[in-house]
Amino acid sequence: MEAGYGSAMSTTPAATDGSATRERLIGGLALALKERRLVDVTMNDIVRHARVSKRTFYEHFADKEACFIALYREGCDRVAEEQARALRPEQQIGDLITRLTQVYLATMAAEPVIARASLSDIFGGGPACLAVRREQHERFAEGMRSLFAGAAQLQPGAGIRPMTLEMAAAVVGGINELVLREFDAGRGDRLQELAPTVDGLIRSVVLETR
Amino acid sequence: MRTSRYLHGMPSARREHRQSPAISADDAAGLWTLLTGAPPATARERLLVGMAAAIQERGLAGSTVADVVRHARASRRTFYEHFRDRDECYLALYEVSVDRLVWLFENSLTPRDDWFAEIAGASEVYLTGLTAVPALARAGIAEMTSLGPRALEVRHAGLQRLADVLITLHDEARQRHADVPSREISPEQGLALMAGLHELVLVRVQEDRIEDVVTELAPVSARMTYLLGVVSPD
Repeated sequence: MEAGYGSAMSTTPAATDGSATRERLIGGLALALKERRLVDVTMNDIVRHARVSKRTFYEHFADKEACFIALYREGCDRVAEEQARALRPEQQIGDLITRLTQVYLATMAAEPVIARASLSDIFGGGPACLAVRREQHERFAEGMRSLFAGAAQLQPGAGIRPMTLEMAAAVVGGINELVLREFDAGRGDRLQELAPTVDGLIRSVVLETR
Repeated sequence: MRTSRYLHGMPSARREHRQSPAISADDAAGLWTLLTGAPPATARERLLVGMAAAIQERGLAGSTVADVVRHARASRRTFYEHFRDRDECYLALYEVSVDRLVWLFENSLTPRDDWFAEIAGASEVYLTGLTAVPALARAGIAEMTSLGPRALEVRHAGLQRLADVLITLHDEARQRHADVPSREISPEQGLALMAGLHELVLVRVQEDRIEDVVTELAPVSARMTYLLGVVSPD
């Protein structure tokens, strides 16, 4: 994960393709976020890290916020990909919950800068950011709901309780708050310590008995 | 007239405000009484009332210090004697609102035969208080997060206080219903529950249907609390 944005930049030195340039700009913002918080990142920071001109920036994004939203969406895509790779509804339900927790916390811990910006800055960014945040929350909530619905079907008698989308959305929101709190308290490198709490939260909602 | 509706937390208040954006000084004072249980007594409180009135009229994003002092009938100088800027004034109003919500929530539990009904009743009281003044609910849930790191800190602290009340209420309920096998809700779980609930409120604010919060979310809130705090199968 750590290789993600940094290496994309160094391996595409002479990108002329539009989407590659766009990736460079998103990577530029990701690097800038390692130096300062989103609110303090300037256009100059982004284009300097991306090694493109300001004019090129505006060919791809209307402003810093639009670039940040693209970065946020990509971060969410990668968390979703990791989840899709690691989680299958046929996995024994206890293992499945443990794994879901591990994968989520590990992807957050692997890119702390982007994770923190995604939890905090997207929340503080105004209506456009909130709309995208909501779209991604719904995506993860639906992913969780359908994962456990599939598990309930494949593992009858395992005591798996069907989860409404509403309940899944509340669980996603609750877990994100816990992770954000860890980042804010300077414990971003110890996210795994949240595992028992997150695990217990999901178990309470999904399993009929403990 | 409208003031008394706020006092009763009528969900129609916001729609009405849209039709007639100007709000009177009486309305504003009534709003404050709703928030604190007493009329504004100090210059600082009158400024906070002015802030609330400005938000009623233009939302948080559209409210300026000029609006606040106009509603409060105070001078700019008085404003800056109490607050550094609009945001600081708003965050003070937010904290007063949280105080009120904490008080409402603490006193929300009515003993009933049924454990679930008891928690659902408390959730209903909480959510009614949260959305009693829709413009303020919108500001506190969807707008204040864009005010920067200090606002996020204030929000965190508020959520944690409300989560702690939830845990205490849950403990009271489980002592009264000792026949239902239950367990404590940890501070982290309580926080996650509160944050998760607020997430669902935010969706309704974004969809411009704050008036549906109480009926739709009181059962969800009670169910979440029940699932976290009860050991036995349904």
